[in-house]
Amino acid sequence: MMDRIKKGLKFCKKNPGFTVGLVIICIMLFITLFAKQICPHDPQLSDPKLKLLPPFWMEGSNPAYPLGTDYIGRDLLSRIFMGIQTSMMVALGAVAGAVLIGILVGILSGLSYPGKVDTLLMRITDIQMGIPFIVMVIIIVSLVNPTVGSCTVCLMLATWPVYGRAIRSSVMIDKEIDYIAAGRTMGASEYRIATRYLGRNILPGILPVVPMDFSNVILTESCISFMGLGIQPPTISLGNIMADGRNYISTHWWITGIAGLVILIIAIAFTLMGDDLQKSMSSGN
Amino acid sequence: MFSTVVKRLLQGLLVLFAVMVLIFVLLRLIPGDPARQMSTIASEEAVQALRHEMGIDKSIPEQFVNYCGNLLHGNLGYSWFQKTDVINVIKMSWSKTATEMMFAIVPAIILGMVFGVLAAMYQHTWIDKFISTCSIIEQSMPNYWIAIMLIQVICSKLRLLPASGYKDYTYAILPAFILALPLIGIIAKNVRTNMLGSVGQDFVKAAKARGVPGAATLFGYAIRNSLIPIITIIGGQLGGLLGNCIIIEYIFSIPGIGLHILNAILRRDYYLVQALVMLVSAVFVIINTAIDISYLYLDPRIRKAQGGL
Amino acid sequence: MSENNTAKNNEVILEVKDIKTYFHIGKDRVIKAVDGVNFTLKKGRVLGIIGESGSGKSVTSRTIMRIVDKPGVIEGGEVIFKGQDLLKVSEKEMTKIRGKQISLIFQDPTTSFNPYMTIGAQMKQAYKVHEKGASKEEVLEKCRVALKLVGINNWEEVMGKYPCEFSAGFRQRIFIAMAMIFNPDLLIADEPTTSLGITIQAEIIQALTEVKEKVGNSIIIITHDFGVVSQFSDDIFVMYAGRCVESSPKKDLLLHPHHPYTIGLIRSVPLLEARKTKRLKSIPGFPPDMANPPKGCAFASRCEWAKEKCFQEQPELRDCGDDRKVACHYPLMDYNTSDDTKVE
Repeated sequence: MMDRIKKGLKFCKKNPGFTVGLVIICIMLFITLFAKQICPHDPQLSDPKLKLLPPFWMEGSNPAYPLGTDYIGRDLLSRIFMGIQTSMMVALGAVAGAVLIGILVGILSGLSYPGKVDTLLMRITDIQMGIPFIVMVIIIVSLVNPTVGSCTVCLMLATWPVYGRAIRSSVMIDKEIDYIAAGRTMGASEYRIATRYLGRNILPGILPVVPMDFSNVILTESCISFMGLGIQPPTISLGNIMADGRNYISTHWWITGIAGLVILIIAIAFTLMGDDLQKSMSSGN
Repeated sequence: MFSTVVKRLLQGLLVLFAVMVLIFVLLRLIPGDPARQMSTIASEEAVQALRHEMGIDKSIPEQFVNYCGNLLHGNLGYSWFQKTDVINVIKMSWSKTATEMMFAIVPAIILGMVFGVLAAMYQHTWIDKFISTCSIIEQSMPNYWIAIMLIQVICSKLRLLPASGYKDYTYAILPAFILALPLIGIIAKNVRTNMLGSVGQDFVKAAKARGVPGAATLFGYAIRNSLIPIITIIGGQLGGLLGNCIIIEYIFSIPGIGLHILNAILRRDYYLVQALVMLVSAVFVIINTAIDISYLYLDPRIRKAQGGL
Repeated sequence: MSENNTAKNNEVILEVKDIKTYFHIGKDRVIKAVDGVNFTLKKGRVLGIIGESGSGKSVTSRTIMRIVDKPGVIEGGEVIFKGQDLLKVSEKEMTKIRGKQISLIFQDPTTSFNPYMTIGAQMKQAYKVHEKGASKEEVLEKCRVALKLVGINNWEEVMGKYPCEFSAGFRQRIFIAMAMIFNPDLLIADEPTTSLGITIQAEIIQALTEVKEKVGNSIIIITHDFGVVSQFSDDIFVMYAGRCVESSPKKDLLLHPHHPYTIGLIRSVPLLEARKTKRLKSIPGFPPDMANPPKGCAFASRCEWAKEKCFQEQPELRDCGDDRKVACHYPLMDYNTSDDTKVE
């Protein structure tokens, strides 16, 4: 255990980009977990007397509302905390689900290649990848009532094919490598091969894709919420905050500006992590 | 070679057909009655009559057979909301989206390559670090956010470019710039990685030993060898780009293919969605097939593996 | 036989004086890959540089061509080629010399061609780099002659194809042709046969021999294979740990090696005639860590004749008559390999 921590620390030291990303994500996770507790105000409580207060660096700001208030006087900082919570939860759920489906389909498909199961599963991914991601998301989203849960499922359904493909191809490569054959000759069952041998060797291969997808999913979720198709008020999401702020953008740009900046920071953090993971994978560590 | 091309095209057609079926079924599963959407205050009889007129009172398989029959006659259907044939909507809107895309892709390739080459040539210097940082930011940018912020600055404050609608190509400049940003970042990053990879290779050293000057080696060999990855990236990003068009056209209110897709889905304008999504998928499939085939020309090793010309 | 023809010709084409090429790894780690190498090459002769992997052979060749990759730096010395110090000329001048007056043949013909260009395009480029105004016919003619030189007669067909369509041995022949397109005065072959199968090796050596007989240029051949040098070269130059340990005409060296390392190398070569002799002897131990070279003779720790002085003092390369040089405090002046095994 100590060894692993040491290794992890060494990796962080060597990859400053990864470390920066990790720290940002940890902060975001903390906000996600304790959003309710750290909100200075009730994010839904509106105070018409305090409409459209500017953030702390501008004149006329109120120290009780460091990032100002929105058009009906709700505290922007609290709303952003809640928005981060929603975005992170949707992203975590969607990516975790997509990875799980991807692993299942990928291994099933790779081990059964060549065969009907493989052909069927791959055609499904083909078709899904033949439709642009956002079109797929918009169609699926309009199928159901948009809530946090259904948005998560929609994003998951639109994301999994990439993992399915990647895992299938690495299973097909690994299948040819001797240790799988060695496992077979030793009498390991297909199930055991799938879980013990492949699972362990394939996961590292998709590792760099995961953070990239996180950033992708967060961007997509906030985008569809911004367009009014995703998470609906009164549930707060960063996309909603931006959409609310858009009407006042010419005079009160910071509402949309800050919410977008938060998304940008989260996305950059994930991209940094993915980038460094990819670099160290390709250099063979 | 020829048979490979035919095989790829057939596969593409198959995917297209499957997309058609999928969209057809999905659309009809979306809750909401298109006839009711047309007129919320009409009487039940009037709506029923409208449903009959639209042909959506039949069962889904029946509707599908009808639709396929029409397709074979070159009839893409009728847009109830636009009160015109679907083909007219496409005719009116495709050039706007195509202009945006061209304005985005061509400069993105050029700039991406320039930045990538610069970063590779000045590896480990501030130039490289600056370009690499920019490329990460560009890839992580929420495009709709940057769009509304830029509209604020460039269109409202500075009044340099028009903010919404579409009259001539100047309306496409800002949308195209926003579409191009992530592409530039991704291309630059990949060109850099590829150049650095190529430089260490034996054949580049061999060229140097033959008296090909250093810079010429970099450009002549490495750029040529980076072409395949660049083309692959563009193929991979195309879906994203088409998707981003929807968002950007929504924000800039450009009546292009993307905005029509969005509105048609929201209004349950079945045949319009059907036709537009198929159009987008067809472009997607055709370009990806073309890319697959271009590999055969660009990389003799793949060509050899595929069984020669 | 070429020995007799060219022995009279005493014009020196290349003189390498005390070249040093160090690799700077990390902050204060320096690997002295080539640390003071001296040799001369006369016109029309073949010099074989032999040594284990990591002894600095390839870096020597790259230092001569001035194409040492970072973090390698040429620290000093002189490479006098036709009266001109190559380490002092400008990069622009050097570019004109590379490929035209000195050519380098690479080790692995599967990676030394650009996979995306046809053979013809690469050959034409090799010619046009130096002859910018050359007419199409002239370029084609040069390519034809060069390919013919290595025994390729269906040149038009070959030029239209991509490298991946040929076997490794054939590609190496094309590479030799490409290196010979200007009939350079000096051809450096860096392990030209190492990555090839045994029969192909013989074919490539044959091709090189023919090229040399027809053109009469000087060749440096770098290898770790005594079989290759004994067939092909006039003089042999043995390298160990970035330095020259012994240099001598071929026959003398093979029969009467003076340096213990050379003896060790010769002993480790299997010979057909030596059926009855003892087992092959390998040299015990490993080459020294080049980032941390020992104080005395680099070979001392592996040498069965080493004495106190060998661990204390680095031996200089000394002349010992008959064109022979050796870097050893206690050279074995009357060692005879035929006592040990039979050679030739």
